[in-house]
Amino acid sequence: MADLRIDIASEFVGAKAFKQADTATSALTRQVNSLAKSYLGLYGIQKLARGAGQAAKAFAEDDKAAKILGQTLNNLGLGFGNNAQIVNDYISNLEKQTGVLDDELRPAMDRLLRATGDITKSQKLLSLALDISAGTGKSLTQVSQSLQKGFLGQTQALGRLGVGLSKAELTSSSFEEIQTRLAVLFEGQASLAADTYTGKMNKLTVATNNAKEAIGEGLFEALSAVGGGGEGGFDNFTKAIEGSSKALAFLIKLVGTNLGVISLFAQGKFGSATDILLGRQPVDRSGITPAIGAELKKAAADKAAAKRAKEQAVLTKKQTAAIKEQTALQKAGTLFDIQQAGIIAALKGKITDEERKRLELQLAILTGNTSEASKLAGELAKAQGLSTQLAAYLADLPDAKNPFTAWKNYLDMIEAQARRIAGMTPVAPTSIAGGNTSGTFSPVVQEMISSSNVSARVGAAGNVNVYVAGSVVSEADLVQAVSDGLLNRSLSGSPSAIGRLKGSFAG
Amino acid sequence: MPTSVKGASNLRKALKKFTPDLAKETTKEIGSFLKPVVKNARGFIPANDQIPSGWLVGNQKGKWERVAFDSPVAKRGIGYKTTPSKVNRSGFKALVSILNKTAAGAIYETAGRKSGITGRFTPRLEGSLAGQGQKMQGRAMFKAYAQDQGKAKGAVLQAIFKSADKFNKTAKVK
Repeated sequence: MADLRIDIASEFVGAKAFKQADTATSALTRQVNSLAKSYLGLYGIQKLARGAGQAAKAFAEDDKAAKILGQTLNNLGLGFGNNAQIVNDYISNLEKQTGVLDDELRPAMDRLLRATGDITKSQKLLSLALDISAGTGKSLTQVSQSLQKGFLGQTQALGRLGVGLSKAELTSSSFEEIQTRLAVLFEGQASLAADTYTGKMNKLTVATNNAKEAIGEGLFEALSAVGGGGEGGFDNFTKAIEGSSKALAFLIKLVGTNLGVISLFAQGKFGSATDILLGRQPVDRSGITPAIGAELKKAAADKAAAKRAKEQAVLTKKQTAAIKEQTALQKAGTLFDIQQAGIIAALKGKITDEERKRLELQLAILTGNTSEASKLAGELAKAQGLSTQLAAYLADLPDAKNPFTAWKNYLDMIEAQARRIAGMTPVAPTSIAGGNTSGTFSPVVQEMISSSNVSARVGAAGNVNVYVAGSVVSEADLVQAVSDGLLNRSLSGSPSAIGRLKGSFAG
Repeated sequence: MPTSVKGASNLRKALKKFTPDLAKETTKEIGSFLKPVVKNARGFIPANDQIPSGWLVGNQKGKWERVAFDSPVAKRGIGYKTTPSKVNRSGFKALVSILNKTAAGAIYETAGRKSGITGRFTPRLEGSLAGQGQKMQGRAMFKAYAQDQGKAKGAVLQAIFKSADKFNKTAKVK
C-alpha cells in the first residue's frame, strides 16, 4: 500500500514513460517503414512472378490449342497452303468481334472441322453456334457439340438446346433445313450480344487474355534467348537450369562437408575428418577392441533389459492399482445389492459361529474377495470336520442303560398282586359284631337294645332294620310329631326361632 | 493538489552545493511550518482503549498482524519529509510532503471515505472524516491539513521562494 501523503510542493520533471513512448514510437515507425518497403518489394516480386507464370500458362494453352487445330487440319487433308493461318485469323477476328475467347473457339472449330471436313462449312456452323449460344445462353462448347451431332445425323441434341424446333421437325428435316431454320431464328444474336456492355466486358477480357498470351510468348522467347535462341534455345535453358540446380546441390553438400570436417578437427578427431574429406566410410577410432565393444554392448543390453523390467514392474503396479480401484468400486456398488444386503442383515443377527462363517463365505464369494473366501472356506471345512468327528464319536458310544429295565419286574409283581386280589371271595359276617373283636356294642346301642325301643333284626342279607315304636306311621305323622316337639320346646322356654310372617315359632 | 514549483530540485541541489547553511536553514524553516500540522494530526490518532479491541496489536495474528493498530506506532508514523521523492507516473516529483506511513494509521485515516460509514468496523472508529474531495479526506493527517486551511502550504512555498531569492542574491554578488 502506498503511503498516504500530502504533497505540499512538487515539480514537473517530465515522465519517463513519455520518453519511452517516444522512443518506442520512433522505433516502431522505422520498423514499419522498413517492413512496408520489404513487403512492397516482396509483393511486387511475387505479383510479377505470379503474373509471369499466368502469362506463360495462357500462352502455353493457346499455343497447344492452335497446334491441335493445325494437326486436325493436317489430318483432314486441309493443311495445305495457308489454311491454318486462315483458320487462326478467322478465329482471332471472331474472338475480337464476339468477345468469346479463342480458348473456346478453337476447340469448337476443331470439333466442327472433324464433323464437316470443310473449312467453309465449319466457319458457317461456328458462326451459327455463336448466334445460338448468345440467343439461348448455352455454352459455345455445348452448342457446337450439338451442331456436330446434328450434322452427323443425331438431331436430338439440337432439340435439347431449346432452339424452338419440334421433335417432328428435327426428325423429318434434313440438317441443311434445320441449319437454315436456325440461322433465321438466331440471326444477329452474336453481334448484338457483342454490342452490349457484357459483350464489351468480354472483349476486354479477350484483350487481357491476348496480352497475357503475348507476354507469355515473350517470356518463353526470352528464356529461349537465354538458352542461346533458336529452336533449341528453350531446351538449352532448361538444361542450364538442371545444371545450375546440380551445382547448387553440390555447393550445399560441400559446405556441409566442410562444416563437419571443421567440427571433427575442433574435436581432435583428425582421422574421421580425413575419412570425410576423402569420401571414405568412417572408421571407429575410439580405441575400443571388439571384445570390449561386445562387453559394452552386453552391458548396454543388460541396462536396457533392466530398464524394460523396471517399466514392466511399474506397469504391473499400475495394473494392480487399477484392479484395486475396480474392486473398490465394485464394493461400493454392492451397497445396493439385495443379496448382499440380506447376508449382511443375517450376519447382524444371533447366529452360531458356523452359520456366521457360512454367511461370511457367501459374502466373500459375492464380493469377489478370493483371499477371504478361501480362508473362510478352510475354516468352514475345518468346522465341518469337527462336526463329523463328533458324530463319529457319538456313534461309537455304547448304548446307555435303560433306567426302566427294573420297572418291569416291579410292574409284574403289582400285576400278580392285583390278579390275586381280584380272585379273592368276600365272606359275610356271622354276627352283628362280626368285625368287633371285643364282642361288645357301644353303650348307646346297648341301651337301645336294653330299652327295647329298637328291635334289631338282621335280614338274610345281613341288613339291620330299625323299627321305632309309637303313633308315627306315616310321613304326615312324622311331620306333626316334629312340629309338636318344636312347639313344646319353644313354649317351655327353650330358645327357638319365631316366624315373623306367620306369627309362629320356628325351631 | 500540490503546487508545482519550477526548478525547485535544481534550487535544492544548488543550495546544498553552494550555500549549505541556507539549505539547512530552509529545511528547518519548512519543518517549523509543518510540525504543527503533524502534531495536530498525531493528536487525532486515538488511544488504544478507543479502538475496537480486535484490531489491537496482540489480538491480531498471521497476515493481519501487520495491520494491527498500536496508537504510539501509528502516531510516530505521521511525519513530514523535505527530500524529493521519485518521479511518479505523471512526471511529478514531490519536494515537501506530509506522510502517514503506517498501515494501521492509513486504515484509521481512510476507513469509510469511499464506501461510507457502514459495516461492522468503520462505525466503531473514533473521529470523523474531514477534508475536501475523496482523495484529501481523512481522520488524522488530512483532517489536520484541512484545519490548517493552507497556512502551512503557503508558508512552505514562501520559504522556498525566499531561499531562492537569497540564493540568487548571493550568486549575483559572487
